[in-house]
Amino acid sequence: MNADPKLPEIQSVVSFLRHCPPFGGLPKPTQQDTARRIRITYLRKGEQIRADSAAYALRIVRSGAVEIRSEDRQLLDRLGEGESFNIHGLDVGSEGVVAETIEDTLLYQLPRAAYEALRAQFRDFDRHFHSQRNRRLRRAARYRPDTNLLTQPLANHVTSNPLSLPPETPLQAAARTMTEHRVSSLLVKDGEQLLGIVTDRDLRSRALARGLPVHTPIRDIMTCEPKRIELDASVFDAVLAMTREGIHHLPVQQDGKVVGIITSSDLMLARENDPVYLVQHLSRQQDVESLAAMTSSLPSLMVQAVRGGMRAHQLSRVLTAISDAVTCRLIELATEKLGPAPVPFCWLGFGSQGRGEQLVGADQDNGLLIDNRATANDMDWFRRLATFVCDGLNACGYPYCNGKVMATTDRWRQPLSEWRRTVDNWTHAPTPEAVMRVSIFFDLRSVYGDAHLCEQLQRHMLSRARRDAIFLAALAANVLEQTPPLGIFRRFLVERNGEHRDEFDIKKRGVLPIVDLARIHALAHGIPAVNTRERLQHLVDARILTIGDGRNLQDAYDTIQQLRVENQCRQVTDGHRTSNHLNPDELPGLERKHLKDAFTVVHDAQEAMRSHFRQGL
Amino acid sequence: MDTRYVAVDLETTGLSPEADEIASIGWVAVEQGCILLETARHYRVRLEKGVGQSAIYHQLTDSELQQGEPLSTVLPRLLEAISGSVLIFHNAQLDMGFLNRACRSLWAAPLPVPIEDTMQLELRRLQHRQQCIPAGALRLFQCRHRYGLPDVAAHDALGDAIATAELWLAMKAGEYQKCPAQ
Repeated sequence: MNADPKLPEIQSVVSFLRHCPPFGGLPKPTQQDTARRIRITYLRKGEQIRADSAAYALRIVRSGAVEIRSEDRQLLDRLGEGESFNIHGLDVGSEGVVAETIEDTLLYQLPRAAYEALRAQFRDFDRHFHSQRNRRLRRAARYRPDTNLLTQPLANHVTSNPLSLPPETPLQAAARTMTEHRVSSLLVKDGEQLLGIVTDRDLRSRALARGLPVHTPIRDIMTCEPKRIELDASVFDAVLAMTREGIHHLPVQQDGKVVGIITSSDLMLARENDPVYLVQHLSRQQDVESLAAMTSSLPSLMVQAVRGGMRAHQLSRVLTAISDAVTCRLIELATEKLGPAPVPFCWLGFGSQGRGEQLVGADQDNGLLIDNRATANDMDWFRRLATFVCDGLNACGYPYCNGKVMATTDRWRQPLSEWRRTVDNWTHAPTPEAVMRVSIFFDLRSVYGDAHLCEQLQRHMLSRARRDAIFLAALAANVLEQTPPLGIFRRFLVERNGEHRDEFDIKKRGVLPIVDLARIHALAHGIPAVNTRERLQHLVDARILTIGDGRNLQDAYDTIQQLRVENQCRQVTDGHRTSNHLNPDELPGLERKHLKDAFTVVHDAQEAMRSHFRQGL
Repeated sequence: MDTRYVAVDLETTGLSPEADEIASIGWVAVEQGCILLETARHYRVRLEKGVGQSAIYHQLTDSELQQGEPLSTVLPRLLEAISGSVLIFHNAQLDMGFLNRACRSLWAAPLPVPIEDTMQLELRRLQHRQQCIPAGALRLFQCRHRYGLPDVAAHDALGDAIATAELWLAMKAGEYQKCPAQ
């Protein structure tokens, strides 16, 4: 690089590079130098870049979008603004990779020498392009669309780090260790080398039945050189091997090394992960512990369902059905303990449960609606019911609600007449604080009990809310405070520090604004539906929203929920707790673009609402 | 098609070549459908009169501009860079007005160069489609939007020269072979 001090700072290019993942981490003078080496080209939609004809360079998408496909046209990746690729680097191991512009595209090219120099000099920069390729290959693997359990890769069901002991271990010690680990088999290993396998059945038929002393080393009863299966085999291969050999345990190997074990009960469990199975079996559990044991599999159920191609809105229906089933079973268990309910009642689900839009990790939002005839004594029965159910839900992974919107809170556990009075108070004197607290109340649904009570309350609520412009305006003002995290030039706004640095809350900033918009319009027009997609559909049918606006909002909602679900799946797979925080830089280019489009739709709809409800503000 | 092009942009203290001055010059060369940022140059020009009103717009202060070089040093560099090339402007009339006047005052002759003007190209395209052309529709960043080109954070003479070159590439896309092997 020429060190001429007269060389200009190319601000417009540097300020773009700063936001491209691997370049942002480079020192400022290097960013300047890099900008000066760039060559800019413009490609029409549909043009191809091939390793055999194009110059060796790093290509950065400045605007537009590019698809990377393998030789057999399989989609490997989609790149949007700020993302980069080196067509020659992608070519390793798979010949004939092609990049094709799917929109008119402005491309920045960093020539080979400059690109290689950066990789040699900056480790993080180099690593970015290493990991990028791996990610792409992984994703390509994931694109195999099969939902059939038997064709699924075995890897999803394998228990890694299986229990292993040296061959000299005495029988009794081995049996004790197996009991402690709650496993039905153990691997006998000499260092890294697999010698054999010992199962429950071996302990019974080869040790106990023959009366072997407890000090006998396990090598005497092990099955030598057990049959193994490769990690990349399918579930079908494993079932076949087990039935052929009449065995229930298969060590799993990769590159000749044992990496896990698969058992016939793992394979049975794989089937139990079916949501229908789960809902059915929840209603047969006899105590809170066994309910909790079943719901603990929800995160992995989500991952499998999503990998199997289930969409976010279907998944949230399933997860809501499951939390409904848990709630109903808990109420039944409580009734067994407390005796039958003294008067009719209805267990209400609010918020995401009310709307049928729950995902994994949702907190509980519920209430009790009780027949007006209830006496003070009766009310005590309901207090105890509420405590049992809410504690049970918490134990089953539906944490207590921070805002105390729970049947255990007195004002959320009332006879119908009191509920009506509460609604009147909210709508008459809408303080901002009250409005914020009650908005989820308007997404209510009968989960258990007398649905007629719920209908009466909902009808009353709609008739009040609908004619009260001031209340609606207060609700609108509250809603409009949460805007999508997009700044000027459509860059994502992320948190600058703290635990969620570089992330934003996709639920709060993306999902809820749409939910809120649909709710206000529904309330203003007396529409009883509570599910967001249904509300939007009713609003379109009633010509309150145009078909275009309604469809845009629905697409935006589906897109954002889908990304939220996929983000949670990633968190589960990486062993993290599920949360709603998402780092936009970790999204593939096209998804990022879709998310931006979705946010823009939300923003526009909010602007429209701002002017619509302004009269009351 | 191996004509060499140079996209040029000037920042000026006003709109009149007679009364106002060139505050900065930026340029970048385009060869075979490829903008070469290694050829990009950007010079502040020392003002004789001061920036007046437009300082707000260009975010330059008088004192910053005093650090610039005299026009008599900057202009020969431009002439050297554009030798044998076609110039690309967005609104050539304005910038050429300033350049011709500067050349006349330094060498008593105007600047005889072939010119392409992205604003005129766009005007003709819109007229050809018989579209109505609203006010501001021919500004550089409005034109870029119509070609799906992104907004740019920094607005200086060099940034706008590059932005003009990109717009020109988008207009001419398909006519040129892309960057040769490097």
